[in-house]
Amino acid sequence: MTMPEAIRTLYPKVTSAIMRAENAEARGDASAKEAYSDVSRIEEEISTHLPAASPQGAVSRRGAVRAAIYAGDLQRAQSLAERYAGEADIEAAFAEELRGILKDGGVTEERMNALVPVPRLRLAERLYPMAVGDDELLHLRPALPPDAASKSDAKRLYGEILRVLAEFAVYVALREDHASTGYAHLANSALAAAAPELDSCSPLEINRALRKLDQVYRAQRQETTLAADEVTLLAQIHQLFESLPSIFPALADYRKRSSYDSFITPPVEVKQNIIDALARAAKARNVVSPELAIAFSRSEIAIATAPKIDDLGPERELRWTTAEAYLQADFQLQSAESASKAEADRGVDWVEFREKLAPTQRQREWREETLQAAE
Amino acid sequence: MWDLRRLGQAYGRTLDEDSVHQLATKAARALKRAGHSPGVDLPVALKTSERRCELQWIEYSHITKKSIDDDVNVTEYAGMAMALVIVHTLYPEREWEFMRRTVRGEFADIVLMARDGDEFFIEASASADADPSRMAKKRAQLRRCAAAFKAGCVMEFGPPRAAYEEV
Repeated sequence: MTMPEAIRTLYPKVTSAIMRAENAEARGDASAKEAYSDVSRIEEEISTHLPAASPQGAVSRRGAVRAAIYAGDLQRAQSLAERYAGEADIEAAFAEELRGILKDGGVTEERMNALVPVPRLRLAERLYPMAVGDDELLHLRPALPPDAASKSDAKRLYGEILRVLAEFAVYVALREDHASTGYAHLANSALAAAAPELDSCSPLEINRALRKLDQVYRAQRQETTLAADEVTLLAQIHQLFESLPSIFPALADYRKRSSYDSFITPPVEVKQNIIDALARAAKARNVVSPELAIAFSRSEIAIATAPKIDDLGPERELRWTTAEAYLQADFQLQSAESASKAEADRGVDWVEFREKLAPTQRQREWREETLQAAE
Repeated sequence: MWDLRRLGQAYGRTLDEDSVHQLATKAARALKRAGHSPGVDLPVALKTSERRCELQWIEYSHITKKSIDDDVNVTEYAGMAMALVIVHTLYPEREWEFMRRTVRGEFADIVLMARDGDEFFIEASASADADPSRMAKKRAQLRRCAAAFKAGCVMEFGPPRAAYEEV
């Protein structure tokens, strides 16, 4: 028997990812969860090449589920286990084994039933959890536009790329929020936002175009208050992303090859830029729960960009899968309120934000309706 | 004689350079931490016999006591490295390929493949001091694994000593 070529490629990756996760975990590093998230995804990919009945197929399936648990993504763990348990060639004992792994990992039916669906932010499926450091710039320099003459230019451009991604992440979160709160039908209403005019593919250009788009959007939103008009915007942002053939594949490729351990802390101003961009993007779109999205986004960006930073406060603890996210958002709100009145200066009305945590209740109701319908 | 740097040659085709380096370095650190120097003898107890191999490694000047203390997973990874050394010592003709490390919680720590396609699941366990009950635990653990070929390898560092048993 020989190893399939795909497996030959994936096995060194999973070994490397597991060791990275184990080392981060042993050091108590916050990046451990993200590293385990990578492990889970690689294991999932391996499992697609191996039958469940084979010893190694079973190893990859158990590994995908366990790594998701270690990453704190209980919903993913449950989803994977359910999918694997439903495979055609699965043995009853293996399905039982998967259930045992879930149980041992704290993924109990009671706990999952206590969760409500919430918006989940993914920065392009975490392909680009970027920290801006010299090492990254060195690798990315060939992919950056030629006008990135100096290191500071390159860092600034990198920041702009992050901003675009961040806006996109906010958008996706809000869209999912609408869908889960019963506003999905609004997606059918078209907003005739002007298509961005791009002279080049540089991130700065894209960002300018996005700002322009925001202005058009804002102007028209005064006449039509429908949140889900952003579907139009989504298509346009997708279009923008696709016009970046040189940058993003290079980023993705670098991410795959690179050790997370080698990343250095991003400059504070980059993080702040991202947070500001998120606040503006969400505020400009003034949809169902923009401030909630800000809270999520800030945490996500912080986790994604600065796994080693110790000063994130409550954001470090935020979990992305559950109603706990709402609670954490509320906790974060309280921290922000007490920690700095400067937050208000950035245009975020935290009192209003608290009131707008109402979607939590709507989502609970929606979920109850869904469950009742299912019964 | 087995030089830990040979891990890369013995298994390196499917084990990336960084992983090889980690295993070899942590094994050297574990041995150094236990007070050993390159050239130390490693007796390996088999079911009915014993094999020995002499371990060599390079004592880099940057491997200080502090760097060893600051390192993580030293004993665990050293145990895996020793298991690889032992399997290669016992069956050098099988032209092993390192397939993968498994996620914590599995029956085995590492999976190897021989040139003839046999998959070999190995559970490695290492500790600073002797613990006679460990092999029995590993044996029981491996018996739950459906793979055809599996082995337990327990290792202690202070004096270096290993036991290897196919289950």
